[in-house]
Amino acid sequence: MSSKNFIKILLLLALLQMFQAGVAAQSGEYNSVVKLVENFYHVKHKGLPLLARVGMRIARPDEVKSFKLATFEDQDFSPAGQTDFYTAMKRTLSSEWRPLVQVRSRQDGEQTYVFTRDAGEWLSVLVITIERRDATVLQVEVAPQALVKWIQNPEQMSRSLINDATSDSEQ
Amino acid sequence: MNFLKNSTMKLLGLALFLAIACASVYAQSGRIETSGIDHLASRASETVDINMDERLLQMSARLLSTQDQDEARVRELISGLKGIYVKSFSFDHENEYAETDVEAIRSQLRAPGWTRFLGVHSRHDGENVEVYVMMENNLIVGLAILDFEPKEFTVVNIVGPVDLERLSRIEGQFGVPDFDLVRETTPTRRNE
Repeated sequence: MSSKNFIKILLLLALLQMFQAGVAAQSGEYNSVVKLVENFYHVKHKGLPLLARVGMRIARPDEVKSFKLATFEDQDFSPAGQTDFYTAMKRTLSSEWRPLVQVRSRQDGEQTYVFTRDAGEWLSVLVITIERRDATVLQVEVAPQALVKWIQNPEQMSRSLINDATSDSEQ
Repeated sequence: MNFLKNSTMKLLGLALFLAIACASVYAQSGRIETSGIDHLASRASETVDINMDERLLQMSARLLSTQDQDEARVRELISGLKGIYVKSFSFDHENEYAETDVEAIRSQLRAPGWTRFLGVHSRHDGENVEVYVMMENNLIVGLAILDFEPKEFTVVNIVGPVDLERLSRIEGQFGVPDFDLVRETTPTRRNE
């Protein structure tokens, strides 16, 4: 093998490695948040079956891509320690993720957290909702058009996105 | 020993300089620091914290159409804004937050540039609303609203050019509660 070809292969391998590392880092933080929910509340998430994922790919609107969803159903999410959970979550996420919305209700045991991160022309949005018996972790990339709806009504939009995602996955 | 003393003094001086620099950047930008009341979250029955920075607002403004009437309206509303920040705490009982918590915010609004624009006190329901504006060259570059009731404490900070008319259109969306401030400023209501 000529040294030129060898260098080309090395460069290609390095590029592939960088790409894989990038992909791993992107899903890594989502996975870390899912793991954090599991460890903090001693619960287990439910993965989406392949067919449901295919269904969601077809059903989701043009304004949303790269869906990642983890649901926790009928498990105990005690409202105690909400602030500790938020602190732990902020430690888990890199500083690229900026907090957009944080709503915590001790009375209803509900928590909603929305973080955003630049994804080129799109925006990565990480939504975590926790209720007394259920929780959802959702990461999506939203189109600029959808971004406007988000900032106009961030809390309601986060909830409706979670509702859409979970009802799509149940169908 | 002297070296240690000199280094410590230098570090202290640097820290002081940085603290003053940070405070003046906040003061000049119309942004107020609200992390001093974060501890209330552990006592609150409900906490809402919304952070929309300039990047997010202007990214949205750029992408909105000037042709579509609705989009153009939102574009006009957020263009030039550098941030919308809301922090709100609701409590189950009265006296869960102290005057020092209100003072942690209010003291920043006594800095040069800030002017108390409006104060509404309702003896009936114990609601207090204070509106402050930061002026620069006769233009409003920042606005802060303090709303404190017996069981609620809300701080809204809008950074960038904003007037009452614009505020009245922002209220109720972008995470900003609807204070109905335009109605509050009309002479028909007298709660003071």
